[in-house]
Amino acid sequence: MTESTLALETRGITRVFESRKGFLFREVTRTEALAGIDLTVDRGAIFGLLGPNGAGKTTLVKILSTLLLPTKGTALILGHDVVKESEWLRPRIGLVLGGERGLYNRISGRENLRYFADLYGVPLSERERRITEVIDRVDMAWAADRRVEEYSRGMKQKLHIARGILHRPEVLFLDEPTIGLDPKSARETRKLVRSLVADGVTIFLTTHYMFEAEELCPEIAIISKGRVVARDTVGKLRELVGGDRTLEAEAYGFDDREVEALHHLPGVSKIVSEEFGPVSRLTLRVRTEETRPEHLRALLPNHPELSVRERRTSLEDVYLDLVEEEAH
Amino acid sequence: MSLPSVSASRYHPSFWRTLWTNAVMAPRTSLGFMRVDFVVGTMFVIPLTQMVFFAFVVQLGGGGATEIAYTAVGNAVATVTYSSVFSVCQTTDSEKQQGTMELLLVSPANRLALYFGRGIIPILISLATVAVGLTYAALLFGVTIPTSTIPALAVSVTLTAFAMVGFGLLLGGVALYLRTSIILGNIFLFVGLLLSGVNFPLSSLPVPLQWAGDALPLTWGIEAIRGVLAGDSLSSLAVLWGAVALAAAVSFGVAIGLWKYFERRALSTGSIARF
Amino acid sequence: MATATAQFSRSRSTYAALRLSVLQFLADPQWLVPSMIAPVIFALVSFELFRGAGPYFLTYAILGAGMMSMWGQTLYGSGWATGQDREFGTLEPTIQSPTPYLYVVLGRVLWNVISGLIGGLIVYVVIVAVAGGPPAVPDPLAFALLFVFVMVTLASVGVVFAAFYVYTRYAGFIQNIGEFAFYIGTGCMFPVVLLPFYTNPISLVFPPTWGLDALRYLSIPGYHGFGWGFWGDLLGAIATTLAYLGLAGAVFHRVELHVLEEGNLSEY
Repeated sequence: MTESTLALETRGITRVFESRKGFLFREVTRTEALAGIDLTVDRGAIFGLLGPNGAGKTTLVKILSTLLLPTKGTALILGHDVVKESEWLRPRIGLVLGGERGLYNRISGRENLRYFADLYGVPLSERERRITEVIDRVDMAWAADRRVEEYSRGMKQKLHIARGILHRPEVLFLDEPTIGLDPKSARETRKLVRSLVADGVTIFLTTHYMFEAEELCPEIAIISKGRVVARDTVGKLRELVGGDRTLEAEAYGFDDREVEALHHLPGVSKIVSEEFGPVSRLTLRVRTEETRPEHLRALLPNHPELSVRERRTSLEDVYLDLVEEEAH
Repeated sequence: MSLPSVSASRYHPSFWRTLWTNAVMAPRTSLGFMRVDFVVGTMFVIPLTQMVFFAFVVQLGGGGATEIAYTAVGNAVATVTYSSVFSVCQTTDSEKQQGTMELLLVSPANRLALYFGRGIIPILISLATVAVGLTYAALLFGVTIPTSTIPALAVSVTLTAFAMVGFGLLLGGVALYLRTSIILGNIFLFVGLLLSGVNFPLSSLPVPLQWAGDALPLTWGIEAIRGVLAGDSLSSLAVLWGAVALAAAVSFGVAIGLWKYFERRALSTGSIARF
Repeated sequence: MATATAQFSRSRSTYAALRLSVLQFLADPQWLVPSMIAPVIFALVSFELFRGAGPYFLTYAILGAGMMSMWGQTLYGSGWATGQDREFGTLEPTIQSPTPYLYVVLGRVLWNVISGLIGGLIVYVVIVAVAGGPPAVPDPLAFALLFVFVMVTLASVGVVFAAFYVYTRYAGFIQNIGEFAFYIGTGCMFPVVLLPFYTNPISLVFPPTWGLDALRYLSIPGYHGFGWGFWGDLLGAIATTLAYLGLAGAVFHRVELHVLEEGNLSEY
C-alpha cells in the first residue's frame, strides 16, 4: 500500500450531540456540532483552524485524535481511519487540549510525563532522556519536580505541550496552545511549533489569536456553526472578503449619498459601516492600488474632523466578515 | 454626562435570598446526587440493604428477633448519614472540583446563608430516608411502631435530621482545608456503626469509647427514636430530644466557627483550590 | 525526523498505573487515616457482633471485618480512581493514549489488592489484640494463601465495576446504592446459604462468593456452606475469576466505544 501524502483527510464529518432532560418524560435535544466537514492537510504542514466559540473546533480535533466518534463521514489520519484504525493511530498522534485540567495535580510534572511515557511505550532506555528533553524544550526544567497543583496556568499549559510531544508523534493536534501563556512563553511555543514542523511533524492548530494563525499557518480554515466557511492561504482569504487593502474613514456621521459615492471608487468591493458612540466608521475593502486615502478625503469634504487610515486587510477582518456572514 | 454614583453600583444580597438561592441551587450544582433516580435509590435501596445486611450478621452472631429488631432500628436511622453527612460534605468537594469555591468566597454573600442553605434539601431527604427505614423496620424486621408514637417519632426524626445535617456541615467546614471530604464522610460512617449504638448498645463498649459515642449526634438521635419505640415517658423523651437539639445546635454552631476558621486557613495556605 | 513509533507494553502500562496509584496515595497522607481507621472500626464492630457465634467467633469476626475493610477498597478503589480521572480531566488523555484503559485499571486494582491486604492485616492484629489470642485456624498457611486469592477474586469484579466509571460519571452514586446489596450477595460477612435459596444463583455469579465460602470451609471446622465443599468452591472461584477477567476485556472495549460515541469523556 502506497503511503498517503496527506496527513489528514476528512469527508463529510458530522457530529450530533444528544442531551436528555427530565425524569419521566425525557426531552431530547439534538445539537449538530459539525455539519459535514471536508478538509485535507498535507504531511509536514502547519494547518490552522479558526472559529468562534462553539463553532466545533474542539469537537473536530477530538474526532481527528480518536477521542470522539463522528456521527457520519470519514476521517483519515496518515491514511488510516480514525474510527476503525484508532489503535494504529494513537501511538502516532499527539493531542494537546490544554487548560487547568488534564494533569495529575498531586504529583510532579516529571512524574506526569513519566506515566504517560509508559502509557505510550517510549522505550525505557530513552524515557528519562526524552522526558528531560521535552521539559527543556518547553522551558520547565526549574519546576519539573514540583507538584502540578503548584503550577500556574501557563506552566500547566507547557506541561500539556510537553506531554503531547513526548512520544514523537507524526501528527500533533494543538487546541489553543498559547492560551494562558505570557508573551515570551507564547513566542517560544510558536518557535517550538515551527521546530516540530522542521522535524517533519504535521501540526493541526486551533487558535483565537489571528496574528498567531497568520504567523504560523500558510493555510487556514475558518469554521462557523459546524461548517467550514472558508479555506485557503491567508492572501487568498483576504481576496475572498474583498481585497488585500483596507481603508478606514472615521467622522461624526456619514450620509447615504457619501457612502454611495464611495462605492463607485475603483476597486472598492465592500463597505462596512459601524457606529462607535458619536463616531461613524466606514471600512472599505479595496482590491486594487488605484483608490487611495486622498480619494476618500476628496469625496468627503464636509467632514473637517475626518480621519482616513490605510492598512492591509488582516486575518481578523477576514474572520469577522466571514463569521458574521455565516451568522446572518 | 455624569458617572453613576459608586454606592449605587454596590449590591448587597440579603440573608434570606442567599439562603433560598443556595437551598434551590445547591442540589443542582454541588449536591451531585440530586438526580431523582439517585435520590430514590438513596432513600429506598440503601436503608433496605443495610438493614438486611446487619440483620443477617446479627443472626449469624447468635442473635434472635429482639436483636434483629434492635439492629433494624439502628440501621434505619444510621442510613441518614448518606443523605446528610456525605452529601453536605460533598458540596465542598464539588465546588472545589468545579473551581467555583473561590468565586463563592470572594462574593459578599452571607456565609451562614451560603452554607446553611445547602443543608435544607438534605434535611428533607434525611427525614424521608429515616421514615422509609422505619417503615421497613416495621414491615420486615418485626419492629412495632404504635400509631400513637408517630408524633413523638416525627419530632425525634426531625431533630435527628437537623443534627446530622449540622454535623455534615461541620465536616464540610473541615473539608474546606483538606483536599477532599470523602475521607471524613467515610470515617464517620464507620465510626457511627461502632459508636452510635446502631448495632449493639453503647454500654457493651469500653467507657472511653462510650464517651466518644456520646459526642456524636447520631447516638442521641438513635437513642431518642429507640426511646419512643420503647414507650418512654414524655419527660424521658424530652431529655433525649434536648440532647439531640443540643447536638444539632452545637453542630451548627461549631460548623459556623469551623467554616470561618478553615476558610481563613485555606485562603492563607492556598488549599482552597486544592482537591 | 520522527523516530520509530513507540510500542506500548501491557505489563509496563499496568506497572505505570500501579506506580501512579502508589505515588498519589503517598502524596496524600490523609488517605492513611481511612485505610487504617476503617479496618480497626470494622474489627471492633465485627468482634462485638460475632461474640455469640460460637467457638469460632473470632474466625468469623476476622473474616467478616477483613472482608468489610477490604471489600470497599479492592472492589471500588479502581472505580473511584477512574471517577477521579474524570474529575481531573485525565480520562481523555489516558483513553487517547495507545494503552487500552483496561491495563490502567489493572494497575490500580493491583494497588487496591495490596492496600486491601494491609487493611486485612490490621484487622487481624486488632482482633487478636482484643481477643487476647489468635483464632484457631487449622491450616494458617493455606488460610493466608486463600485469603490472598479471595482478594484476587474480588479484584476481578472490581475491574469490571471500574468500567462503569468510564461509562458514566454517575457510577459512584450507583455504587453507593448497591454497596450493601453486594456485600450481602457475596457473603462478605455471613455465608450466602443463610439467604433465601432463590437468591443463591445471583450470588454465585460473583467470584468472591465462591472464594469466601472456600475460606470458611478451610478455617471453620464443621462449616456447611454450599454442598460442593471446599474443592468445589475453589474450582468455582478460579473459573469465575477467569471468566470475569476475560469479560473485563470485552466490557472495557465496548464501554470505550460507547463513551467515544456519546462524547461524555470530559464530563464529571
